[in-house]
Amino acid sequence: MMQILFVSENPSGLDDLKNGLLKHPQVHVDTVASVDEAWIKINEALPALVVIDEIVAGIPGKQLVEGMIKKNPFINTALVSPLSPEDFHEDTEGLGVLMKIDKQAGESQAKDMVEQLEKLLSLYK
Amino acid sequence: MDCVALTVWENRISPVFDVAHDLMIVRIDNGKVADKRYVSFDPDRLSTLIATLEDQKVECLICGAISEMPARMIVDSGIHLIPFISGNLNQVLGYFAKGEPIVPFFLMPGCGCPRRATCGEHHRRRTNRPIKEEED
Repeated sequence: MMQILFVSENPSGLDDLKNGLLKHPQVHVDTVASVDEAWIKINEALPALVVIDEIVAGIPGKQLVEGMIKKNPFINTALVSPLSPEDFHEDTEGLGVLMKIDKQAGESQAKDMVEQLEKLLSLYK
Repeated sequence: MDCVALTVWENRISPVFDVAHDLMIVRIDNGKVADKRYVSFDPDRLSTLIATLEDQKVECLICGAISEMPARMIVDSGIHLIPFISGNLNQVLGYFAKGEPIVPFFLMPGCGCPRRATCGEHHRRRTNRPIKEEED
């Protein structure tokens, strides 16, 4: 089972992505609305990926990624961002963010996400 | 004898250089690990890290995701950098010691830098060609 955790105060904005992910039978999606709730989930069982919204509780998603990897660098992250791929790379370089999520992400990004995660997880087998 | 350093976290390559704290320094002789030792470091004190690497005669550093600034400093010091590597430490080391390419097999997925050719020396140095070949 591939556990993916969404951290978003407005989860319906990511419904298309979530629905795309749920077409993959091995994927299970959880959603929380705050970083505190995310840590509870993470401490219960490390998800394969944490998808962080652009802003959560007024804090930019990038800042939340930085805080998470400082506590546990094995948390794989994806970040919702309006930046171009080039600017996103520049902005998040060095944080190990698996991928940028478009605000209108759907089935195609879901497929890409699952493929990238499968590759990443295979490196640890 | 080649000397390589890897940023480690438990039994894996540390996924993020900027929050890593431990290095494994390995001497490789005839495709085998001849000696290994662990050294702690502070990623915020790069000049100290580079001095340690130079002191230990490390020729190559293998790490996970790394920001442009530290990558540049490491490369500019003459150390061959192989960044964005992910996976089990012994597996990566085993491949490297035998001279087998660790890129792209152990390359982190998702680092689809659209400007690979221009965003930093480290992107151009992603292959683990034998160190001697680089010097030629």
